[in-house]
Amino acid sequence: MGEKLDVSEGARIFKALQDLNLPPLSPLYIICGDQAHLPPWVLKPDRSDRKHYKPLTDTEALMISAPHQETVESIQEFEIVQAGLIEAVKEVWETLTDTEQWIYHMLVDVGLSMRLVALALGTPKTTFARRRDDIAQKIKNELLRHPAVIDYLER
Amino acid sequence: MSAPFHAGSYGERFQAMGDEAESNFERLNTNWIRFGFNRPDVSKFYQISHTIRATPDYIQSDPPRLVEVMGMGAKPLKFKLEKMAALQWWDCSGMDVWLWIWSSTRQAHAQIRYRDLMTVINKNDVSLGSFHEGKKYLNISSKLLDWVDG
Repeated sequence: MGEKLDVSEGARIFKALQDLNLPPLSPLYIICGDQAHLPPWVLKPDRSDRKHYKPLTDTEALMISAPHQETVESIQEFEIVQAGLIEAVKEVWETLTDTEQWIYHMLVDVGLSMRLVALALGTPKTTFARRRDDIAQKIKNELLRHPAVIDYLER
Repeated sequence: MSAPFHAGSYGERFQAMGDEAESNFERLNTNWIRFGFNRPDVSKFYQISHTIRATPDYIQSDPPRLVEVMGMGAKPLKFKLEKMAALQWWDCSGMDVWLWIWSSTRQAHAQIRYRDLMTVINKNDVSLGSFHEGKKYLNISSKLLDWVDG
């Protein structure tokens, strides 16, 4: 029974979010200073890495590109995209109700089991599993229709 | 005989909150600095964000860690859900959060990393309870912790 509840798309989305070890969304961490604890995709590119050198600006990217060669992504562009994606997450987060945010927080950030979160809400486990799946679907749908995410996925 | 600690009102619990556990933590540890609030004498403290209210009690430099000290008696440890959520925020701050628990019954202490405690909670049949004011807590049996004589 428990296994059945854990194979839905919602369960997989929540498991993936948990595994990413993301910074908590509530209260939101400002991404600055010591970034050692953040997942690598949030970090800025390492400019000392000569092999994967990132130009600082779009102009520099253009200047180091050979004729007819596609320009590489500059740090400037990378930061604009990152800021757009962070804003998208923030906006999607705000579409969740207080209870939905609490459920996300308990399952993803705190990492409490579904059994205990369902118990805390006084909801049967199967009903709660459906609610979790609805939240996952809502997050997914809202993200996929956000312009910053659409742009990012189409790159 | 007086009522057990957890059965008192919030006001009664507030008067003696953490005294014994914290004095034992200070006795058994070195390199600590008081970090969190200790019964702050201000009005409307509840209006302060819960994450800040639940600042861990101590900070240690060697090994670097934030420490939340808790006390328990013969009954299981009561770990409030809202405290658990707030400590998770601190655990992402770049320093690990540890729970240091004093048992007045065993006259011993146990310490566990916040993340390890979450694993213990999820893997065991931990039950849920409510304080008088409605706040929910997890009952963590002392058998789930490793004790060292104090």
